[in-house]
Amino acid sequence: MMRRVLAVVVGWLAWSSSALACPICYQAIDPSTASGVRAAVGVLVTVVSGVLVGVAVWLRRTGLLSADPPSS
Amino acid sequence: MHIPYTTERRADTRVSNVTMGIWLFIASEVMLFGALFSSYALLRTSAPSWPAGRAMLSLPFGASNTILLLMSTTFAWRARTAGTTWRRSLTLSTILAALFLTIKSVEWAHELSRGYLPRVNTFLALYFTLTGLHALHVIAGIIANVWAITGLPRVGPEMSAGRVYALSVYWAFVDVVWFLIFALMYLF
Repeated sequence: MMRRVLAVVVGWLAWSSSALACPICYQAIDPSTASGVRAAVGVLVTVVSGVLVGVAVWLRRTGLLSADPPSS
Repeated sequence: MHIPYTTERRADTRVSNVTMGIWLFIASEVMLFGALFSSYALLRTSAPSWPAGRAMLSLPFGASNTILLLMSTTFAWRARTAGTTWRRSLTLSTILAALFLTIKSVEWAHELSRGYLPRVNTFLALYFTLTGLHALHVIAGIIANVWAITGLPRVGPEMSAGRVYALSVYWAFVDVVWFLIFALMYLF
């Protein structure tokens, strides 16, 4: 029974359009979309890095990163 | 009920829970707006043509709103050091933020009357999404300001000081987001 369900799911995935790969992932030649994705990823990476650096600075200041527990 | 560490600092984090809470909230908000600005970068860079914000939107409306929001945040920051008159500073901040919303509503009405709907193009869709979400944050800030002002008799000055600190950080964040929206939508 489990195998049949699995076969149906795999078959459905293989035939459905959602299984088609994104052309950007497969390096389709579409310069404007590709540069757009690059810019978007750049912005997102910058934002996430900024937040993570902020957290790291705070952890360092509070001494939570050090091996010794902070004194009260 | 006594909630610990609302005014006093924790030994492990070295900050009160109010400070910790507002900074965690700001971090999550940065992620939220970061995702939207990332969408802006994607759509703008990949668009074959992009309308000039100056031509479509009203620069005087945007500039006056920038000044109003800057003044509102200044008063929110002054409330931190205003001593016993902090409620007056925060009230002024609230009034200015309400003025910001009024001008924004007039601007939206003006744009909608000209047929500038979000469905017209990607620029307007982004403009209404970003300014709409920002306006929701201004509304939330106004509600929080009123809550802090009216909450003084109940919670006392010490706890109110923590609230004012959190609000000043929040308004500074709302300001920074507006500067980015203003620069991206109205100027460039």
